[in-house]
Amino acid sequence: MEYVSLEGLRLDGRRPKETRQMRCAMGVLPAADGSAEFRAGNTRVMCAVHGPRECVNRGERDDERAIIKCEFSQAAFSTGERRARGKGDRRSVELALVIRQALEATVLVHLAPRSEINVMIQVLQADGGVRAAAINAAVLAIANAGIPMKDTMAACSAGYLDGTPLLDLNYVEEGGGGVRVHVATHASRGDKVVVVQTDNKASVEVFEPVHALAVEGCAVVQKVMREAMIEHTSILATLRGREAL
Amino acid sequence: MNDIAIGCFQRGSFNFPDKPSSAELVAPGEDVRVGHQTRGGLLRGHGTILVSDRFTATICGTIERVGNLVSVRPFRCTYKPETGDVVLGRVIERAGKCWKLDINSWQDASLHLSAINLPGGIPRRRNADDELNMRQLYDDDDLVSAEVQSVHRDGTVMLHTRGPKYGCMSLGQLISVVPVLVKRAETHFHRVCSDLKTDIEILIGCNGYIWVGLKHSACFTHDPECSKSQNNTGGCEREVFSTSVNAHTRDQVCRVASAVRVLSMLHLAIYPKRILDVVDRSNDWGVSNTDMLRRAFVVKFSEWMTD
Repeated sequence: MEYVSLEGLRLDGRRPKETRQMRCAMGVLPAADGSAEFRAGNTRVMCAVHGPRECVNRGERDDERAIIKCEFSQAAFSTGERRARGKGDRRSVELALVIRQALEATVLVHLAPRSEINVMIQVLQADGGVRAAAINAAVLAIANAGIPMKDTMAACSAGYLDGTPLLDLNYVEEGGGGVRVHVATHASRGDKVVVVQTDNKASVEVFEPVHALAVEGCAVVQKVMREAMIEHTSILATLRGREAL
Repeated sequence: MNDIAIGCFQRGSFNFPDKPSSAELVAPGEDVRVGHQTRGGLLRGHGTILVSDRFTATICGTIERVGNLVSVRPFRCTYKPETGDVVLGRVIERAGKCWKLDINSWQDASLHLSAINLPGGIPRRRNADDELNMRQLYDDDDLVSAEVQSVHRDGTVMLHTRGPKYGCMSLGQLISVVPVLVKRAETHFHRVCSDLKTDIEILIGCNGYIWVGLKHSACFTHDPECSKSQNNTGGCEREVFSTSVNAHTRDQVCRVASAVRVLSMLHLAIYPKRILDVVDRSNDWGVSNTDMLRRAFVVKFSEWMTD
């Protein structure tokens, strides 16, 4: 299969270093303390955040910091083939762990000691880049809940197919068997990398350009997320009014 | 934030006086700039951290400057208790001599047995008996109005319910809203007349819990003579649960409660005058109680607001 045509276009008509169109919606679930939906192309991920609130389980309570609990699940209807996917399978547990660790490095957990933050992520449509989209949705939801963070963490994936590094792989490209690198960074703190994961084996010569491309992609994603946050905050501030608290 | 609120914003953004400019708005990780300064001689306030000698925002919000103190003010966040706040709390459990109350904050508050007024103003006898009888005062799942007595350095919140204003709530309903919609004011207990017959009490807790209910003899009596004659002042009045309330009064309570929900849906600041505005408009336009939370009314009210 040809993933990059002779004209340099990918299967969905993008250039190799182009992301899909991204859309962010915040405050989509009125019952949650914070919520967001992140879309990249046909991938849609919804996230709800509850907390910080009192720890349900006393044994897990930490007197120095808030603990983060993360739950990842994928809807049965999210892929072309309908398949029941729980939140208990190996992939979901691993993804939830990665997201939790990334969030713990981003959220200022010491500001709410003895509490817990629940992050619930649900994939509505999976068309590649689910891992990155889940992280982005979680960050937007946490920002919506007003929980302090060091930076707007943004995630993006990149791959290597037909001898070309490609940014933001879709479902078909993910199945192409090439190297895939998932990166999340604090882009405004000098591209500080928080998460790096690779699927398939990669030589250093391949890994480096692909990783660099993913880091560049993160900065683009961060910009989109920031714009959404600013726009949403502008609406909230205008409606609430600026009278003293 | 729903699409109705966004619609309200888009229609009326010119009429709202407080629309922030883009320079005032920040997202996490962005530099907080005041004029051209990012550091020199300024003090770091809430919502900011110091990164490589620059102030950086940690939350979404607007930049606020008071003197040299620079902070970022959020428009959606968890309630942060302060001494003197009037709050509503739900009793979660009893732990020794304390009740633990959920106050919509990042940790539960404690209400000490010695921080309440016993029914009828009887002085408390310090013995094991009154600890065993704590359930008779406030039981699990009771809703209690209280005041924040102190906030310890480690964030522990102590409450008290001394005084005739505070105590167990009954005959009404609770609405939970985003805490930033509530302004700290001199009084949080309000009495409104939605029509000439019924008095309705609204308690707007600083923690975003809002109580709408009937005039409550114990909780809302300010007259000391009256409180003495009541057997149960300050404590919980269990017998009120058996009080029958007529349909008209219940309708009025629901109408005021729906008005609070409408304001919450539109992310508008909540205070008695505005609640009454919603109630009045719904009465003027002949909107029934059940239709108040429907899109048509919320949109119509937001249009009326922005005109």
